[in-house]
Amino acid sequence: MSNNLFDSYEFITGIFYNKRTATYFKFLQTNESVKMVPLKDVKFKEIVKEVRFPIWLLRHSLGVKSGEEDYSDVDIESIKNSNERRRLELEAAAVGNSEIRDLNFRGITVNVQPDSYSHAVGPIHAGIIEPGHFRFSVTGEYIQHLNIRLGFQKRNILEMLKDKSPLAAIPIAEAISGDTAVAYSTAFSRIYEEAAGLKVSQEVKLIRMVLLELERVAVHIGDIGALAGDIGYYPLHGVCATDRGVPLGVMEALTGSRFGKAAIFPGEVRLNKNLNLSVLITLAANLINCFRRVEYQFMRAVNSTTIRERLDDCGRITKMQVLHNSIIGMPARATGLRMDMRYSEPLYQTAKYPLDLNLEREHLNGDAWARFYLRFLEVKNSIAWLEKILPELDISKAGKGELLVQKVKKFKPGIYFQSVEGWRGAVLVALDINTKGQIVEAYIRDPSVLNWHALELAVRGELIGDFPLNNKSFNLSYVGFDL
Amino acid sequence: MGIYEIKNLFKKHTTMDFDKASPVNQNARGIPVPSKAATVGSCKNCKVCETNCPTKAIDVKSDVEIKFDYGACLQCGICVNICPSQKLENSGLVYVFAFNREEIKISYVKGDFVPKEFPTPENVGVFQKLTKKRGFNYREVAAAGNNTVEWELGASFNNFFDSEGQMVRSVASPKHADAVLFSGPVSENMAGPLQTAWDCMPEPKALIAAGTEAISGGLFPMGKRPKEPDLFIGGDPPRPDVMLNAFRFLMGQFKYAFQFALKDRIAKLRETK
Repeated sequence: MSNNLFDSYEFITGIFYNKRTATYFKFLQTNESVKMVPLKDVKFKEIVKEVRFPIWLLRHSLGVKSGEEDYSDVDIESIKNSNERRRLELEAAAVGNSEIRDLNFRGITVNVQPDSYSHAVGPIHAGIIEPGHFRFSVTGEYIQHLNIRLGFQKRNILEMLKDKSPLAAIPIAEAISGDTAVAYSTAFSRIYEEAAGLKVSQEVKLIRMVLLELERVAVHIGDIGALAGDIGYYPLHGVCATDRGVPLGVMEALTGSRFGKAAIFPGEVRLNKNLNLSVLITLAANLINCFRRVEYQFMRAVNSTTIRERLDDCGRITKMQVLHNSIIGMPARATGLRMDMRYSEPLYQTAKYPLDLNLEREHLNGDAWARFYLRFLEVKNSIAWLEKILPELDISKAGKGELLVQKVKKFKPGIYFQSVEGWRGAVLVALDINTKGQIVEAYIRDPSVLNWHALELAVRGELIGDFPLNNKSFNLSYVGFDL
Repeated sequence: MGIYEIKNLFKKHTTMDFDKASPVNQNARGIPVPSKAATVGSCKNCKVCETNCPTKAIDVKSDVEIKFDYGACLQCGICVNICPSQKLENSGLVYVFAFNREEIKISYVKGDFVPKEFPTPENVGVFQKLTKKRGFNYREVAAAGNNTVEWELGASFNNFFDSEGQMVRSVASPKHADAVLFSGPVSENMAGPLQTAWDCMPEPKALIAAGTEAISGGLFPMGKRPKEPDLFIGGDPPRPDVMLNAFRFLMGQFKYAFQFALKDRIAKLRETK
């Protein structure tokens, strides 16, 4: 393959069926942007035949309720082949070939050869994490195949969003996946701003970016610690578990919520009243001190060969798999691909201090090590930027929490979409809005939707004992998938 | 292992002191309370806070009476910003926990209320006898929460909050647990697994509702719980220190009465103005 393919690519990252116009919309991901393309007069049949639509995306976005899944007659080798799998899924679909089944767990039977066994995990997992069903097909210690089925936390968010006003929709957006609250509220706010013609000042945009980076930094530091904990390397685990609290504390000092909830609204950012320059300088200092502590332990950890060997070549995803299966965000970047929605955000580069989005590519070869190292690189870049930009923020322009969107009388109706690079990857939100600003129909695609399948692919041939490590290296959202 | 670990032996410990912890966090929004402006005049027919509260936690009963269900409050502060006559303010009070669901519902008349005492329920008394000196283990069940409660529980085990230092541990199986802690509004598909986890546990046991969504459903309709929870912890999500002090409250190590703390906080807020 020429390098060209990996430099400029385009794959399908979302599919939204709009009932009002009876039209399918597909979303195409390039290395720095997403575009929406209406598929005029295209029928469901043609969409499922189109191999470029990843099966996980189809099942998540268009899937319907259906009974138990039975793959007991299907050889595991053939199910591993994605084209064959697509045919099987379609055969098993609920009603002929006009529907496809969703990915919620309703019972699944897998083929078990005499030399292997199948192993079920969930819905309640051993740690403090969300519920899901993992069905492993294992030979000896090696995972042959993994089926992931979710849906335990389904709250009918898409239905709930219908008829909601902007002010009512933002809290729901933040509950899609609470750890990505800032990315979702930013995406929703941008949509409403576009529809209402609300002007947003550069200062407000910059504050939002600061919150988005804080969210990224906080989760990444936590994840680095969690991975270290899974390896059994506690110095790094301990420091990260504690120092994750620093960016969360900074977020709380800025917005009043440790997760940046109810901070971003259309046209504004609601900040704490008691902020001033000296507070911002202190917060910046806290962040850089936190980074120094993490960096010291991280460097100690990565210079130890046992840690490197544990992560090296574990759960590898290739660049080709990324392009064929529409894998996005962190796992995609960890293969060395350039993919980041922040490239297309000019303010990151035109702000007084630009955010460095360059990564040391030599570490990024698609395995757990790469995902571990990538997190550190992103933390390093973001904190270096936050330290400089925090004291520069013009908090007086943030607004006094007027809830501007309340005063908008008329919205331009239509289908809008936004994609924001959250810490897991780009979140995609498409809203069909009427003249009152109410949501007619919503489409939400968390990066986890695509990346859960990446986890299925990554663990094939890996040791079952390494599964927690692999799972943590992806750290995907269950609730953002279940909606 | 190097010199770093040895140096650490001589460092002062950084764990917070739970007995001295304040129910108020200066940086957090906390729950909204009537401001000084609410003590004079009336709300007339204005119900703007009630209609815009995302979880319908506010009920404007009359032009002088307003009822807050802090068990449904996400502490988003929308009501504070939207009130046309600044009759509400963010209190910063984050210790929203109680044994009785009614204790965290407050009816204000002209911005004031009379705090009530709530006795410790009998089954909590039994639980306290067992756990006061020995601590307890809990099994966490995420029942359609938005994953932030899980993050804060994770944080409660770090060296600053040190859950295990407070004798509270998370265990892998409900069979090893004294309490089930759940987050979220209990979706249809999680009601079964939550019930199973509860049924597996030997008596005496406690059910802990962690987070606003677990208390009232928050933005979502409340699903089926195994029984009425024994401890309600409000906040979306509650901070780690709030949850740990609520656990200590459950064990009988920490004395707290939400309504009296709220009364104090309101008095203090009005005094500083």
